[in-house]
Amino acid sequence: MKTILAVAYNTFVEAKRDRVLYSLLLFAFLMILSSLIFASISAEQYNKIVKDLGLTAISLIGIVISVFLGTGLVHKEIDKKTVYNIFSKPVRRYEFVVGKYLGLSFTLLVNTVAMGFILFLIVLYTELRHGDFIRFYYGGNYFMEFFKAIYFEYLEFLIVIGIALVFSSFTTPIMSLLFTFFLFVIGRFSGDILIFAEGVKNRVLRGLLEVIYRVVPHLEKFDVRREAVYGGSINPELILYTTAYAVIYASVLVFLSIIIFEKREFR
Amino acid sequence: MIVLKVDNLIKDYPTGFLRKKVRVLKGVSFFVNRGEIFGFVGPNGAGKTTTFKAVLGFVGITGGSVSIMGRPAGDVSVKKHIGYLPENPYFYDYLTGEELLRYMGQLHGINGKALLKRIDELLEKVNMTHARKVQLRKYSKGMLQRIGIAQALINDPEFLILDEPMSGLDPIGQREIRELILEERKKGKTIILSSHILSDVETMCDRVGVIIGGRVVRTGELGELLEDIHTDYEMLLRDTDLEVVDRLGDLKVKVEKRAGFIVLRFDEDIKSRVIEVVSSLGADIVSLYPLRKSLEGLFVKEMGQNSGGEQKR
Ligand SMILES: Nc1ncnc2c1ncn2[C@@H]1O[C@H](COP(=O)(O)OP(=O)(O)OP(=O)(O)O)[C@@H](O)[C@H]1O
Ligand SMILES: [Mg+2]
Repeated sequence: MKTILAVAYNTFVEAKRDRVLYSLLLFAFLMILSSLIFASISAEQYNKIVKDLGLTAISLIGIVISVFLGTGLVHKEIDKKTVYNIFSKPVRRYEFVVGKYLGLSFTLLVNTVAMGFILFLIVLYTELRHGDFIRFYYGGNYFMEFFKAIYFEYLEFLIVIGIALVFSSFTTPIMSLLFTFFLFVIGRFSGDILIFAEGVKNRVLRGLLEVIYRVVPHLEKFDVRREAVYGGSINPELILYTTAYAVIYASVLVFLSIIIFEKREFR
Repeated sequence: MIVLKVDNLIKDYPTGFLRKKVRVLKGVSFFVNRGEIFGFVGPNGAGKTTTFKAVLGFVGITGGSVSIMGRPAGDVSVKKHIGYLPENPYFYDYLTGEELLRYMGQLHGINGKALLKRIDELLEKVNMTHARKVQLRKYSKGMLQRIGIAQALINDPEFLILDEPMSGLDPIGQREIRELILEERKKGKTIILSSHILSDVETMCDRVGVIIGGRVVRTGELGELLEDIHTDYEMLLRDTDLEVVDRLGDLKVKVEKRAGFIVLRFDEDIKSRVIEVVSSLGADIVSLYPLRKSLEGLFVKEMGQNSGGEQKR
């Protein structure tokens, strides 16, 4: 366990020194810029836009970091031959893979919490400025939905990192980048696969589509922006179910990476 | 007691698009005794690094067997007692020297005060205390080599595997590392090192293995291996002693004038005869030295014998 934590911590340090957290500045900049652009519309509209935009930006930035860092996660260590240092120490291969995964997950956690906090401040500010203080004060729930949405976005990152990790453990960064992105897009539209399959007459093809539907991650589950921004509630069962889905799916991906990585030669 | 035993080790690497197999190790056999320094020498591409990688389990083995401290190749539990210096140490360039050592120590399960103390000790030992807070990306090659040696020693290992420990070091650094290695042996540690600096191997190693073309062609104590190696010698005489040349008679000696000296070149076999003749004439001998380092002679001879059929495989 200590080994896993050491690897995870080092992964976090690397991301930090690679200036990943600068993405926070980018996020803050984007948000302020957009608030200037939309400054002229009505207060009611404005709040919604800021929230919707903010949540979208958090998701986008998180996905980009997950994909880019995730696809280099294992490959970079093999390429730069740092694996020789790691595995001349009493480190098991699974400990390394799990450590790398947790390290990047933690990096994203820090990043997402920070972006969420920035967004929270911006939303708070706009609400107060528009004299909506009462609703803010009494509407704790209203804000809760907002935080839940960010939590759901983070769950999606966990899966995307896992996908990147799987590809990263057997192919080059460019290829894993393409594959991960491809699978991400399919995942985001996985619901459409089923709809599409229903219209297909050919049985084999339809069967195949249904299998694909079952295998790919259902990433649209993690998009609860509508509920968070336009009212509606995210009930505890949904939270529980979605969390379990993400954790299980990500675990399978990490497990898969371990199986691949166990066989890998460091030449 | 034998610390490392490699028996008929075979390693194939797939190469190219078709993954055609290339046999890199063709049956490597040798052993390393406890408490000795074993020198692993051979030309570039002979398979030294590959052997180390197989022993540590970085690559699988195609055939043969490895026993390291009584366990199979790559066994995780023995790694607690092993220190390894990779060929060209690559490290996390965003870490400082100190942070790298801390990370490597943590992987050994060393923590807290014990780790801090060990890091201080090692930085001092490899003379890197001044750069402990500098990121590795700013290190020179020799500095990386020093920190590489420090990380190999972090767990005070019983068995050290050093792939070209002297590479990239300045003369002072080489001497320091030489002393450090000898000191480890004095503490009863076992060391295997590969090197291209034959004089180092000669002065440090108890036993030597010569690997050529993926096969260990000779192993043994240095004295044994060098017994039948002949070397040319050169003798430098003052120019005034020209008459010597006539007196050498039927001895096979090449005579040459060079920058105010007379240079005699002859085979080791007749060394004492030449010395006899020269000193009987009272000639002024400036110096006498072997032309090739003795191990180098072995090297050249073995390569001559083993290059024929081997390289074509
Ligand atoms: N990843 C690899 N894929 C294919 N062949 C390889 C690979 N690594 C090494 N080789 C081949 O294996 C042979 C042995 O290489 P190795 O690095 O073990 O030699 P070495 O004895 O350490 O040489 P040097 O003195 O230059 O360090 C070489 O012919 C090399 O071309
Ligand atoms: Mg080598």
